[in-house]
Amino acid sequence: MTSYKPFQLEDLYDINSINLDPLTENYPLDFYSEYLIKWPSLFFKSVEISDNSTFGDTSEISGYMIAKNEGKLSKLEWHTHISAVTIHNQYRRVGLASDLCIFLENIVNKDPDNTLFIDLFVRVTNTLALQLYEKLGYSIYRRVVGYYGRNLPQDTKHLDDEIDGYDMRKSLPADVNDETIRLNGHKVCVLPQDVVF
Amino acid sequence: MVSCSHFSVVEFTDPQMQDHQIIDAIDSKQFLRASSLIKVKSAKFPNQSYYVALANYLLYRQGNVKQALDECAKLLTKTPNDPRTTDLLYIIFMESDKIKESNEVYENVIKKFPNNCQEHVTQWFQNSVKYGNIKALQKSCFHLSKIHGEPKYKMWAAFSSYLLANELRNDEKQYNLFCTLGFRIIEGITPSSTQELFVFVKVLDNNKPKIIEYIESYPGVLDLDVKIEYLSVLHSLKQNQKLFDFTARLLFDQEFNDFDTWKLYIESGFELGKPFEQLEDSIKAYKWSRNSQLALLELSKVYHNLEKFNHYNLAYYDKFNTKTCCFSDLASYNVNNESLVNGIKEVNNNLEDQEITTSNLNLFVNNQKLLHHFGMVSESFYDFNWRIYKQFLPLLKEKLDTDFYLANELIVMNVIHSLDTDQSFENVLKNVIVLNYLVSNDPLDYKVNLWLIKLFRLVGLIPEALRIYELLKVRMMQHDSLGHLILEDVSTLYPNKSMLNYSVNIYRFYLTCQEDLNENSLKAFDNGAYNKLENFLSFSKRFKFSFQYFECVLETFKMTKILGDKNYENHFFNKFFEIEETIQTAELTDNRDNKIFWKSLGFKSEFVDQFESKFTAVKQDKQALLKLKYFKESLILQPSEIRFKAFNKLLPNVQLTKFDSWLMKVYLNLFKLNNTLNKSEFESTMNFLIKNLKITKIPITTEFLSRELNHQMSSLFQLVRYTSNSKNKQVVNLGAALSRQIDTSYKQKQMDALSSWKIQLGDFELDITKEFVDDQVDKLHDAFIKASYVHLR
Repeated sequence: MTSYKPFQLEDLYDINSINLDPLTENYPLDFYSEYLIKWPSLFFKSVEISDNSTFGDTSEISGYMIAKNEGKLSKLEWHTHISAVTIHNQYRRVGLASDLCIFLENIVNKDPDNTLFIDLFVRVTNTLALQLYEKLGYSIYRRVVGYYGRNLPQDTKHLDDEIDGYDMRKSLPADVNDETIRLNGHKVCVLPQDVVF
Repeated sequence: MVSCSHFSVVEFTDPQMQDHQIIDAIDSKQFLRASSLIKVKSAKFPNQSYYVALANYLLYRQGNVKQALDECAKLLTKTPNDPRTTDLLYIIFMESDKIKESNEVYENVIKKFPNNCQEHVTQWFQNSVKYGNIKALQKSCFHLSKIHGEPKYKMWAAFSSYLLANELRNDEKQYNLFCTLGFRIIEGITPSSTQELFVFVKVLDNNKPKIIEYIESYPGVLDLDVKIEYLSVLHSLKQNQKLFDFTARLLFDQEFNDFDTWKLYIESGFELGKPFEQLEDSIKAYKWSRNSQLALLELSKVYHNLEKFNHYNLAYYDKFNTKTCCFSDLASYNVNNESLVNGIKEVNNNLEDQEITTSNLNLFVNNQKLLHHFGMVSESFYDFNWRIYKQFLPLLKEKLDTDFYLANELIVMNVIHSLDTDQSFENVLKNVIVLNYLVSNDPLDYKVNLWLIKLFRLVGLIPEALRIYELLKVRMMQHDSLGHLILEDVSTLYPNKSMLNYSVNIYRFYLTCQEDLNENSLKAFDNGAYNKLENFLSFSKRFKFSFQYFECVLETFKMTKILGDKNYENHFFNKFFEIEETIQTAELTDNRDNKIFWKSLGFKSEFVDQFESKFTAVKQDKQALLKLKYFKESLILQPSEIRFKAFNKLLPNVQLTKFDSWLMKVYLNLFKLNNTLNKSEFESTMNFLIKNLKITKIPITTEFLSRELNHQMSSLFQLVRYTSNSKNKQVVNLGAALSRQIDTSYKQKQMDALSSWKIQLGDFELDITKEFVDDQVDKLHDAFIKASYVHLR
């Protein structure tokens, strides 16, 4: 029984069940604050009516989405970037991550955001996530060599599945001619420094 | 504390830099140096109010609060308008809780220099955000809007009026006054964004029909905040037709599959007298989803249709019983129908025939959790949990490290059950081994690891608790809610160099965040993020007064003293006394997360309370205890009458263990010796100490490998150290004698207990091998050696 609510700073006290999960990154307070201040409508959470027999809580956060808008429209780069989307382990495999992505899409595909596309990064080995995003209409735009590595690579030919990421995109109605996406994106390799907007 | 950079160079020619040096000297308690610098400056610039304010700030930081406030009050009558002066005056007044005077600092300047006060008003605004002073925030924003006149500042003024109204909500007249004032400020403006519309919604909180007007006339797309506000207003005004139409539009036209919206759709439909079947059909026609299936359950509940309720309950169960959300979804509806229970029992009868799949595992775990929720629990229930875990063990070999393995929860339930019936040392260790077995199969399960930390703490194995805390990669904000798992009483449980370094790292996190918070609240104003602002301010307050922060400072400082650490002691000495005012006056916020252990397991709160109480000797008010411990430390370092009174006042009101009660009473009498006592007072104090500073009088635990013994030995070590510095020779001798008795009576016994350690743990479930158990016992033995008091120094 999922409902969608705006994320608030104090929610950081209620996401231990999500952020203790090894797959979820914990960011500095400043990171969350910046998203809340600059892109308040793109940082939201899903909540569940919880089993209120313990502690009298009436709801529990089951996931959240952190996104931002960036890039120049003149360069066809005005887009929404998904910085994090994560789900509580008890609420996985019921389509919640997809729902959060769709919810985001429904916000940014119209005014005042009206971005050209949504993008996100995913490890090339994360087949489950790749399938999920493909099902949602995302496609690989380019392979970012060494995106998840510790050092900044200099050579796009040095592919490494462990640390390379795919930049996946979904074109939105504002991109009338689908100019922001491409076919066979997995063959286009770039460096992390090339994907800064 | 005035924030400024720290300079290493001794002399500067730039006068501003020297002023910074003065502040720096005061804040680092170099009072003599600060005093001489101020004198030089005052002689050179006798008419500059700033040096008078600095002299007052010096007095204030030296602890001469009354004199500082008197001097500040004198300075205030002269209406100083040097922004550096107003800033210092505001800080001194605010930190002394002189709210009226703090505001007068700026109000006087505004009155006297109405055309030249922009810098002061901005400073007032910034300071009011920094100190979370909503009344000052409202006033300063009001003045800012008058100076600038732009819509943005009007929005600030209106929104801060709402914040003040909200703070005064209990006083209806005041509440209405500030809501109305807020609305008047922006009445002529047409909201140009949903953020501005949000400000209108807030200031119209006392005039809800008007909110509807504003929202309905807004030409743009509503954001989530405003949508929720709109739904809430329609609901509170019982505008059921509008509510029904709007929710239907959201659900069916905009595909906003939100359960709260479903609930309002159903409720408004019910209130409008819509037939059950009409709503049922509309939900069924909706694209199939978990929410829509639960909406049918909700519909049956609201329409009191028991037959359908049971039907949709079973339908939901049939579709979702292999999903991990099934238990919590059904538990929240408190469903317990015979068919469901029979169905569960039938499935359970066929455990051994089930295919080993994650779906089937989830099915059995959901069933067990539901039976537990229905109270259908006997010993066989727990046996069945072991069987399920064993049955699905092959899945652990297939799964990715990061995959969630639901069967662990059943074993955690069994561990809880075991500890609930037997709290012995041996049983805690036995369950540690069970949990370690789970971790050996599934290292990244955070819930199992958290329970391990809990059990390690129970038996005093703090280094092990720390090892897991680090393994869990607890970071950033999580320290504020989970830090207590390692920091609570750590200065007596495990005063060790590595622990000190860890707690210093947590402390650094607090410092960084405190600096960022003010900045971010100001940025939220500047960016017009009104729907986040209120929570930014409440978060700041919650974080600034976090119990965990003050415990971190206290425990870290105590460790620096115990360990004689020269790197950090001076810094924490200053920090320790810097927080005194807050410790004395503020209501601390408890951000500790203890719910995390119990979430999703389905235990009732009464059980949790009862369970936790079995492992605590006395139910303690942690905040009062922290304050008591604080004043004990401050009296050891810098005795004063005020501190003694605070300690003496707190002591009878804090529930303590027998040992701590003895300890604090001994300290009380030792502290009395610092006061001026008449002959009979002196005699009775000495008699108390002579009688009680003996090993036979101390209620020390006889468990030589326990959390209690480590705590008690460390506390006694500190006590003996304190007595050794006493001016009273008899006290010194009593302490020395006690120290010898501790060495012979307890240190040796703990060493003997460690060297002859043998433990009988009985049989284990889950086919845990003897080799695994033996290895675990060896590891526990090593852990006890590492954590023991005798090996700490």
